[in-house]
Amino acid sequence: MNRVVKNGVVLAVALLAAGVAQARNDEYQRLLDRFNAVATDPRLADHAQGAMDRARQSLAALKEARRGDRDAWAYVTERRIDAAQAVAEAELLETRRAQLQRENDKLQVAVAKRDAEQARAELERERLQAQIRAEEADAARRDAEVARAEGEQAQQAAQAARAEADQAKRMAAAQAKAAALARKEAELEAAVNGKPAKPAAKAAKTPAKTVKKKPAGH
Amino acid sequence: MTPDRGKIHALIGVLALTGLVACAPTKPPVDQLNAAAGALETARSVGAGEFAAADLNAAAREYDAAQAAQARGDYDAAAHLAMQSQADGELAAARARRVQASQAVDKLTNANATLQSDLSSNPPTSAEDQP
Repeated sequence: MNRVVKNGVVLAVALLAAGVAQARNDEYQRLLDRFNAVATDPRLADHAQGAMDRARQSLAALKEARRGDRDAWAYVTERRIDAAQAVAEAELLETRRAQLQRENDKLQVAVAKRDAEQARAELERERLQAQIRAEEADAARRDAEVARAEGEQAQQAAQAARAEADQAKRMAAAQAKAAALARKEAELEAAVNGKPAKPAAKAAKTPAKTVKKKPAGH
Repeated sequence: MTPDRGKIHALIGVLALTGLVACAPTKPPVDQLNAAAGALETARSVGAGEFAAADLNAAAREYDAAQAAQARGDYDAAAHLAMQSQADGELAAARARRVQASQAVDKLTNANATLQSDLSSNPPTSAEDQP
């Protein structure tokens, strides 16, 4: 009976030790697989070498750790594998960011060039429009000057015509007065000589010369 | 005492001695605590408080626990907790860096799409201005 109990205890201890060892190996193997997955990822393989080295060292420490240290090393190893993966992905993203930044710089330059070009074109359009407006204003001013000059000339011609007409009126009046005086002289002379009065003097018969109007604009 | 029993007693004695040696107090884990404090500081300085708060909080809790363990003379626990705090601090910094890089990529991707759309809808007159 004693022998059976002893064998049972030995078997139980052996199984327990084997189970614990198996669990330790399973944990180690799980972390090793995780590490290898990151290390062999073609996207990440060339990144985070320092963090990968620290994770590798933790794995080695876990494999050699005393039982009391194993949980702590397993925790640390898992975090360092996570950190290595995060650093590798961050480096990958930073490479992508740098590439996008270069594209952004080129796009910004293209937009700035386009805006400058459009601003130059707009400026040229405005300059041409201003030039056209200035030319139109000059033409209008010239037309106005011509019209004003023509108006002044017409006014002067009208004044001249009016003055000529006045002169003609005065001459006609003077001639009429001369004719009336000649008639009166003839009547008086006839009365003195007892002869009938002669027809009016030549001056009275002669109609007043009409003064020709000068054409306007001279 | 049979020979077998003697062997068992000897084995127990060896195991007990091994256990005592294994559990014997070690020196304070000053280096580990300093490394953990440095990792925490680095993580905070790179924005882990904003971008990896859970990892940073774990690191801070473990650091506090490590200090408490050291204060009560449990140097093994203090060393383990300091190691864990350092690992979590480094993880917090790495994740914060990744989040920030990812956000920068997203921001630039959107900005470039907007600029490209602008250029497509209102292209430069001369073809050489196209990027």
